[in-house]
Amino acid sequence: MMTNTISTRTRAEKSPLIKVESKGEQSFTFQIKGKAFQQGYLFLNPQMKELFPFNEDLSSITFIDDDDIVHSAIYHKMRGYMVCLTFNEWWTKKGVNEGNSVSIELIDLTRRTYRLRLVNGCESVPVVSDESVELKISSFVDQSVSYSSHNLEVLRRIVKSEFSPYSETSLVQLGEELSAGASTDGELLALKTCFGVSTYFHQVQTAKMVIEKLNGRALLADEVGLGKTIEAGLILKEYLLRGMAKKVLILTPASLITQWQQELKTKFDLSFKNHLEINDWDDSDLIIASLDTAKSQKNQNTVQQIKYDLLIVDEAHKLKNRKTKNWKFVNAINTKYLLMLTATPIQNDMIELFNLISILKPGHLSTVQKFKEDFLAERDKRLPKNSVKLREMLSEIMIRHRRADTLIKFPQRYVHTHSIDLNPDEAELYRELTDFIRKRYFTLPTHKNPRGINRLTLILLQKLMGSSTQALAKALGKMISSNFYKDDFDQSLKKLYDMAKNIKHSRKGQVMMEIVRSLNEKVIIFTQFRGTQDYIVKMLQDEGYSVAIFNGQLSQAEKDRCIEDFRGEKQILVSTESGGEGRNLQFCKVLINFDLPWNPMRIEQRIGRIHRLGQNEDVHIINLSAKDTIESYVLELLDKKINLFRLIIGELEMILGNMHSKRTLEQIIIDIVTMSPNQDAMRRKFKTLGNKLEKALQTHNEINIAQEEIFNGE
Amino acid sequence: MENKIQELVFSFLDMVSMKHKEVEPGVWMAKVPENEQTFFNGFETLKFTFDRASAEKHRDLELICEGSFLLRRIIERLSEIPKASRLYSTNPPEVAPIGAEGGLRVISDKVYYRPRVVFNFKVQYECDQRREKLYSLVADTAAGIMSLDAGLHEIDLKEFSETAQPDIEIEESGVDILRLYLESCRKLEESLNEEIAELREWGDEQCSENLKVFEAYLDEQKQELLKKKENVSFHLYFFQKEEEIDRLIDNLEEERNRKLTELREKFSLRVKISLINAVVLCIPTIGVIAPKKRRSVAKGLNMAGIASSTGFATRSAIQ
Repeated sequence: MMTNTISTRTRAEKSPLIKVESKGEQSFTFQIKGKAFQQGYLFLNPQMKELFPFNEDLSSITFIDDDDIVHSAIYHKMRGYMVCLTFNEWWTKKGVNEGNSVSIELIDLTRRTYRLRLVNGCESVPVVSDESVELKISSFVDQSVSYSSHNLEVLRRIVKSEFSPYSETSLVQLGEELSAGASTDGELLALKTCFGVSTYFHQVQTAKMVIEKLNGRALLADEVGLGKTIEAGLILKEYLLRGMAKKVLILTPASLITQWQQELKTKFDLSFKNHLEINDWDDSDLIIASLDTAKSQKNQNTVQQIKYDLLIVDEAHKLKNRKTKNWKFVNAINTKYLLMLTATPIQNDMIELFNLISILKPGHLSTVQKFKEDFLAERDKRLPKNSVKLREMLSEIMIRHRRADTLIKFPQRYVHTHSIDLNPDEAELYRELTDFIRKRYFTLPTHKNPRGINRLTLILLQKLMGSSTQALAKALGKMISSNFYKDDFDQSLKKLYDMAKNIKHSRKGQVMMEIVRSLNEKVIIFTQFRGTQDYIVKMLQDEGYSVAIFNGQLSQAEKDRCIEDFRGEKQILVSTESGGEGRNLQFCKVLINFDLPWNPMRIEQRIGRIHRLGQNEDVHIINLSAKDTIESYVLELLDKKINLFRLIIGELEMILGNMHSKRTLEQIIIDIVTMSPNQDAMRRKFKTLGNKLEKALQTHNEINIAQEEIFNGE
Repeated sequence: MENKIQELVFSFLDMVSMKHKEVEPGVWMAKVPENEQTFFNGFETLKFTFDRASAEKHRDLELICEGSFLLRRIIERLSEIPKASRLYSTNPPEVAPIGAEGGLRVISDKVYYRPRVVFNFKVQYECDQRREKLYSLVADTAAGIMSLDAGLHEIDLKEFSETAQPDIEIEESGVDILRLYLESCRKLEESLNEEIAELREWGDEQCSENLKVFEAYLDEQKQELLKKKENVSFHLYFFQKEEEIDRLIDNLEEERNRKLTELREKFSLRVKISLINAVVLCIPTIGVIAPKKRRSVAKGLNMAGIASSTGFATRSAIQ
């Protein structure tokens, strides 16, 4: 086949090799004649080849002439020549005649860069220059156009006759055509591959606006419940798909990390690594972290040294004060695109808005002084003067939609709470267990005396009791049969286990069955524990109900099937996973909370499964709560003090944020439960907590009123 | 589009020796060989669909469609494989073209293959926005550059075969492949100049606009600090206060440099030209051209013209 190849003529035979006139250590001088002069071909003789010691068959060589113009050549090692299209242009410009001398001097072997000099016909050895070529290149050479190193490899294949079947070559072509076609039709690519997202017009508009008009730096300030996370997800995925972003960091409150991760995974197929799961901030391109961790002494410098393509800051109102570490930290992160998400860009003072915008686009709202003069009303720091002008300026950097503007129907949510009297044996078990936990809490195992029940287990027992005696019995059974609890010195666990085991009928279970019997539609029943789930399922199946069972032990395929069964023929779904699985369950309108998690965010996630954007019908939330139990206090707190069951999804985090506590609400509740010496003390502490929550809600409402006036008032 | 995606995916699977079968309507399954498992996120079996509705129902399915990551990865992987093919025209022989240099045509009855090369290029513009365009250049070893078109060159396979006619040989030509490639790059760049200039202008405008407001914003802060510094002389620990203010001014300078770099990076235009593939088309030809006597002075372009088309002669055309 060698005869059947495309081959450049063996020019060396027809064109004499270049004759070296003089040779230095890193340079040589030669006369330009023949093909070198006419067409820019240099046929290297062995002496010259030493200056080009490259292994590849084809390599690119850069020559920089006296005028700092770059000439690119390809060196064909096998045939011993190099070709450059612009050599003869240089000769012409310099008035070089055939026979004049030119020198080539090595500048940088790794970059394959050489200096080309006209020696004006003299035979002198070229003067080695001390000047910094590096500087010259960067200041004179326009390097905006570059060629892929892959190009020479394609040429090499032709030169060496290594041809592929056309089907493979055209496959590469088809791929590129698909890729280029996808990027030009003006539609968001992200929309085509996101799941479980009912994208709304305002969300798509926001994504397009940020990408096309706002240069990827924007404050997304929709009212709560309009899907800012979805908007950020769309923008993020679009940038990734268009190849405009690779390295992305999301900063969010710690309590929202898992929720973000789940939403991005299930809806956008993006796997973000929690920084705690990896060794290094550079280990993954997609990282999510809490703002507190990222700005910590340990991480701060590392994060600020990385060049991010996109940074997303959730709950960005935490950056409202430029004197804080939060503001300074985020302001110093190097990022091409930046999205800041908050429903409340102004909480106390218009300057907060100025500070947020200053991170996004410093100077956009002019200087602090001028901003104050132009836009700050004297009577109220929350209100602007010249609000029309301000809004106009904000429209170039901030996007805010109101629920009322979007015309989206937000259905009603009806809450029904059943306060249940426990059976006498259940009530007795509850008292005994609570006493046991309180006592044991003060004799927790220590390093010196590791025997005993640890704090987490005690809390778990309390929660299990609040869920069902069946779940409690199962857990206690496991504990007393394990080696670790063999030394149950006062036999309390055994006693509690016996009590739990002997309770055959749960009052809560009976009430739940009464409710289910009264309904003739699809119902989701949530519980936190597998033991309770088994109990509920058995009760329902005994009465002939068709039940779909959903829990974390199912495989992905089994979960899919379970949801499909529920969507189809099954009437009831009993689920232990409250986490935002991103599955669309909005075909169901009734949710029963068989037990209540102490973490209100988990309750919000449960509600979010059926009541959020996309639900068109009113939904009913039914809470089952045993009287005089911790669960009843928690329920009262959440329902009466902050209207949890009526809040818009997303609003809870904002209200809790107004408590300015470093501990989560669940941690506070756990402390109250475990640290109270008796029932009365516990009640009092719950009352105080209730007052704090009430105040947080009040602040939240005031902020909302102020936002409305600033962004939409006359 | 969907059919083209299917065609691409199935061909790719064949290429990497992954047999696939349709396990239910619209759902395919393929066993992933060990050496390919990293590419497929560690999966041993790939279950996929091209239908969004099916993927929404079954979350364990990989949806391959416009905008899906797997499709993107397949395309990226394909683009990393340097490909060149050679096809032979089945048409009757042509008379050798005279070409740009001209010359005397010598007709003989000897038929040979004259190579013509199709270079398919991808041009990626990256600034604050990113766009991709495809171009093809057809360059004849005898006639030089024949055409430059937007889009990739379609080859009518009815007119070409992958095998040569046994009695016809490929003639080497007067122009070599490397030179043809360089000339194609030059031609392509010339055609891009206007668009590059336009995009560069946009980027520069955006950058300077942003810089202007940013400089004013920083200057005001600096002035405020300087004013403060003047006033601290009455303070008991004025030297400490002054040091603190100096530190804040230094911080502002640092911020200025950081943001300037950030802005310049964001708005500076980068154009990357990739040779997607090349196809050598062998055209049966009769006759050869006797070259004209060489000119004594090189045929050069007007250097001034080149220099004014920003950066043309100053780029590394091949790397």
